[in-house]
Amino acid sequence: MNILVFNCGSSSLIYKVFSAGSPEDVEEVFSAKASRVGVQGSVPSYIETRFGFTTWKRAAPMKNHRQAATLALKALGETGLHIDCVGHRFVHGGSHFHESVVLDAEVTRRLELCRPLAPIHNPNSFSVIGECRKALPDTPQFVAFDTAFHHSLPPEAYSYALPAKLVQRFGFRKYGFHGLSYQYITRTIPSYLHVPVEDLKIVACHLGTGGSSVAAIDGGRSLDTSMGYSPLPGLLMSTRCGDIDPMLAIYLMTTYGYRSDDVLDLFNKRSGLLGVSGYSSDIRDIIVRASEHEEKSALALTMYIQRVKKYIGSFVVLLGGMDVLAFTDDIGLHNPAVRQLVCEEMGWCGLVLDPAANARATGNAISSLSGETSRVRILSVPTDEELMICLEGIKLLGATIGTPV
Amino acid sequence: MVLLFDPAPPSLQWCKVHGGKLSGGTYEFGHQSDELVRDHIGGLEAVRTVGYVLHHGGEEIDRPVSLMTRDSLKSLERCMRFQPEYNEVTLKAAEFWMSRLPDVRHLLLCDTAYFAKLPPEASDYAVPGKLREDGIRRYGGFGLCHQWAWEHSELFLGHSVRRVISVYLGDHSNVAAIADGSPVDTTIGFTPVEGILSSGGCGDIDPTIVFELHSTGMSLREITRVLSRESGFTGLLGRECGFTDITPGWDEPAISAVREVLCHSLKKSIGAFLSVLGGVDAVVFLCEDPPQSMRLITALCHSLEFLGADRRPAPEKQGGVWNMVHDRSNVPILCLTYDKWKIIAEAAHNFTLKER
Repeated sequence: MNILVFNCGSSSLIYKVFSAGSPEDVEEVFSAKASRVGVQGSVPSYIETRFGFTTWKRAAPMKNHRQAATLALKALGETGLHIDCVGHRFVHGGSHFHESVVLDAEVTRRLELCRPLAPIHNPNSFSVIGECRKALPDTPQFVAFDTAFHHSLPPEAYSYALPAKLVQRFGFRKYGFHGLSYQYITRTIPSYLHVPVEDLKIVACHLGTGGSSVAAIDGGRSLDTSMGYSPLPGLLMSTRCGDIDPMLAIYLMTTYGYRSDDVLDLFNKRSGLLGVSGYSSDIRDIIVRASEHEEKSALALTMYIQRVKKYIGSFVVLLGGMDVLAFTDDIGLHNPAVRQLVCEEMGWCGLVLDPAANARATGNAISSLSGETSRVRILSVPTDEELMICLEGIKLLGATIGTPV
Repeated sequence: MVLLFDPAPPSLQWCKVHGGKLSGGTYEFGHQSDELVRDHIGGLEAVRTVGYVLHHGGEEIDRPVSLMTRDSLKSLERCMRFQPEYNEVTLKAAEFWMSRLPDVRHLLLCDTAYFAKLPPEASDYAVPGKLREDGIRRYGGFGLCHQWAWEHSELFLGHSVRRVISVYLGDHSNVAAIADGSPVDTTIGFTPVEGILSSGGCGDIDPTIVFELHSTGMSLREITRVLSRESGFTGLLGRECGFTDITPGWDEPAISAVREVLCHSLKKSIGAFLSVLGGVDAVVFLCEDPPQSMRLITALCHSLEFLGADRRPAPEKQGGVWNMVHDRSNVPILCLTYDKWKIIAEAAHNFTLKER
C-alpha cells in the first residue's frame, strides 16, 4: 500500500509517500518539503522535491498551508502514484485523543475541540486535511498525535498543583510533545541494542533547531517529559524561555504595563538563546561566539547545557537509574559539541562519553557514543516522524487496505 | 536578651532569647506592642540585640546577617517590590523598634542573601538582557536554614563536605545545592511560588496557564491569589491542607495523591541538583518533626538507592540527628530537626561573636 504522510510545521510542510509491504518493509518513494510557508520576507517560499532519482527545487508562492497542500496534491497527481491512505501529524490532541485514529465525522468534531490547544500548528493541520478531502474524497485519512506517546504519564507527573475546579474547566495538565519522535526512537533503540524495550530505562533528548524536550521512558512508556500543557516550559530553546517562575508573567504585566499578549510573545519568541545572547536563536552561532569568549553567548550556551543536564538528572532519579541516554533531532544528531558538554561531569550517573566516537557520529545512522567504562549506553538516534506516522497508518489501515503495491 | 521578629502578615511573630531559653508567639503589630513588652518581654532594659527577618532582600541585601542603621532602612525600602506583604511588615517593625530602642544593636537577617552570588546559569532566566539587568532573576529563599543545614551536616559528619543537597520539608518545601559552602542552585525563583508545590502555592507550572486564565477575564490579582494561596496541597485536595496534614494521612487516597505529587517534584529537584553538583557527598533533610516525616523521607531515600545510598531499615538517632543510612553508604543521608527560632538565634549570635 502507498501511504501519503503530511507533517505540518509552523512554517513548513513536509510530505512523503511510503510504499509499504509490512511494518518491516517500508520504502520512501517520494519526499518533498515546502519551506517559508506563510512567511513574509525577501526570500520567497519554495518547494524541494525528491522523486525516484531526481531532486529539484523551485520557488512557489504559498501564503498558507492550504495553498502548500494544494500544490503538493497537484504535484503528487502528476507523479501517477496511487495513494491508498493519507496520514497527518497533529501536534496537540489534548485529552481527546490518546492514540492515532482514522478520520470520520465524529473524529473531525473532536479534532475541532483541539484547535485552540496549539494555535499555530493545529489550524494548519486542519487546512491540509480539508484539501486532501477535496482532492482525494474516497481515500481514507488518519491522524497521529504528538501528545499521544505521553498519555502514559502517571498522575503525579501530569498534574499541576492547581485548584481542581480550574483543572476540570480548562484541562490544565502536562501533555508533553515530540511524541512521534520519542515513539520512533523507542522502537529503534531496543532492536539496535538487542535488548527488549521492557528492560530499558531511556532518557531521550529531542534537541531541535526550534523546540527541544527531554523524556523519561521506562519500559517503552513515557514517565515524564519537560514540555507541559503547551510547548513553552522545560528546556531553554531557540526563542522560548523554558522553565520560568509563573509569577513573573504577572509581575511583568503589573510592573511593566505589558499586555498579556506581549508577555506571551516575549516568552515564546524573544527569549531562550536569542534573548540571552541578544545575537542569535541558533545554537550553532552561539557555540561559535562562545568559543570567541563573547560573554552573553557563553552564558546562553552554559544555560542551555545546564538545563539539559538538570533534566537528565531529574529523570535518572525518577527512573531509579538509566540504561540509555539518547540524543535525537537536528541539534542532538549533528552537534557533537552539545553532546560532549551535556555529558561532562555526569559520571555520577554512569555516563562516560567516547570523544572520538562522538566526533565520528554522522547523524545518518544510529551510533554508539559511550566509552568503555560507561555504565550507560549513549546513543545518537536519527528520528523520523513521517515514517512513524506511516507505521501508525499500517497499524490502523493495513488490514482493511490489504494487498501491497 | 535578644528579641527576634519574623513577619507573618498581617501579624508579626516574635521570639525572646534569654539565658539560652527561647520563648515567643505572635502579636498584632502596632497596637499590641505595649502589651507585648508588658506581658511577655517584661521590660526592655535587658534587651541587647533586636533581629528582623527579611524574606526577600532583592539585589539590595547580599549578606545573610547585617547590622541595621538608618541607611539600611533606606535599602530595605528598595526591596519593597519583592514580596511586599512580608517586607512591609519587616520594615515597619524595624522602624518601630529602632526608634523605641535606639541604643541597642539591630540586626537584619535576610533569607535570600545566602543566594546572592548564585552562578548566573542558576540565577538567570532565559529572557532578554534588559529584564535580567532590571533584577529579574532567581533569588532563592530559606537561606539561613540551608546555611545552617550545611554547617550542621559538617559538624555531624566530622569533616568538610564538598557537595551538599539540602532539602527543607514543610509548608514551603524547597531544595538547595551547595558546593564548598556556597549555594549553586535553588528551587525558589523570583518569587517563592516557583519550585516545589507548597501548602497553597502551585510550584512549577506551565506559564502559558497564566495567559490562558487572564484571557478568560480573570484579573491579575485573582490569578496571583489562585497561584500563591489556593493551589498547592490545598488546590489538589480541595480543602485547606498543610505539610503536617500530609504525613499522618499516609493511607488516605486523596492525601496520598497530594503526597505523590510532592514526592515527584522533590525527586526531580534532587536529581537536577545531582547534575548541577556532578554528584553529591551528603543529602540533608530538614523538618520540624522528623519522626512524623520519616515515611516521606524514607521514600525519597529509596529513590537514591541507585546511587549507592545504603538505607537503614530504621533510621538511627545519633546526637540529635537522624542517620538515614549505614556508615558504609556511598552517600550519607541525614535528617536534622528544623527549629526556625533556634536557627535565627544562632545566626544572630554568631554574627555578634564575630563582631566582637
